Amino acid sequence: MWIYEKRLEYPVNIKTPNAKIAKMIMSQYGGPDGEIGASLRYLSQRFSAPNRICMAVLNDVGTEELAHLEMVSTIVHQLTADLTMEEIEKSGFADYYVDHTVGIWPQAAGGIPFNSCEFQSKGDPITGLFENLAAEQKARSTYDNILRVVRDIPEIADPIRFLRAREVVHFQRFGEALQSVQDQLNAKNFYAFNPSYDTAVTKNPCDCNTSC
Amino acid sequence: MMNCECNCTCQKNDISREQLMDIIDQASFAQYDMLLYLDTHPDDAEAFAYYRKQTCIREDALKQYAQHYGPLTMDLIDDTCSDSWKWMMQPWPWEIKKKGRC
Repeated sequence: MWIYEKRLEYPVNIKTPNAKIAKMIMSQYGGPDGEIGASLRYLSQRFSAPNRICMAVLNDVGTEELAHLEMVSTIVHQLTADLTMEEIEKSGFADYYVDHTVGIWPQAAGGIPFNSCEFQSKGDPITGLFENLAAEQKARSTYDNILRVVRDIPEIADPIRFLRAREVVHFQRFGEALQSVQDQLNAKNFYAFNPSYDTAVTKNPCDCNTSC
Repeated sequence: MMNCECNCTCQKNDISREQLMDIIDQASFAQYDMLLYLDTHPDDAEAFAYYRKQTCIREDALKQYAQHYGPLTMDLIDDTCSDSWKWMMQPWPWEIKKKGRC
């Protein structure tokens, strides 16, 4: 289960509203490569992890993504809370405003609501880990895109840079998890069977030394 | 009592709320990043020692913060030595720090 800690993983203190930027950053909340998708992807996939390294990585990265979705929604909230009607109308924010005022609701910048099609949980750990490696790169690219626009606004760029750096680290961890899964399979044919369906979990924690 | 060789400065009363939160943020981040690393490198003893050290700093700072400012987790509510329900009443992390707002 999850316990709440009353702080953000990295501080967000934005003083100046900006509806245009908020609309873009919203994509990292409810968009195709955003943090809600990341969190649900990993927390869903963990049930099909074939070993405890993989379970731990999916669980613990998925948990960190919850902290990230909180940061992104905080950024959007602080960018929109004090908007005037004039700013809302001029900045292309009116479409969102009419349905949500300046509330927070997960959607992509282009308007598609968050939905499960934005991630996959295939029930196959090799497939899942490749999906996750790609997901971290997609998120990194999205933050790159955001940074091109906000790089000279430190109060926004700072937390965005932090989030981007974390994607790179997660990518590394998923690579290691993939390695651990492949190490337990026949090196001549990783695809001979689906270790999450065709066999049970291979080791319990008491047996763990170097290869869980 | 834990014997962690913390060397914490948080015992002093002159540390500000912001400085204490900074210590919590940094130790917590170092701890969590190391947790992820240990998930795939469970035998790295040095990493585990670093994890323990950051945990110690973090827990000490969280307790200090609870005593002076408010509980950041429900388990720290008892450390506030206060009868008021600070968990709800102290600011929430997304609140905007500006004039006219909480």
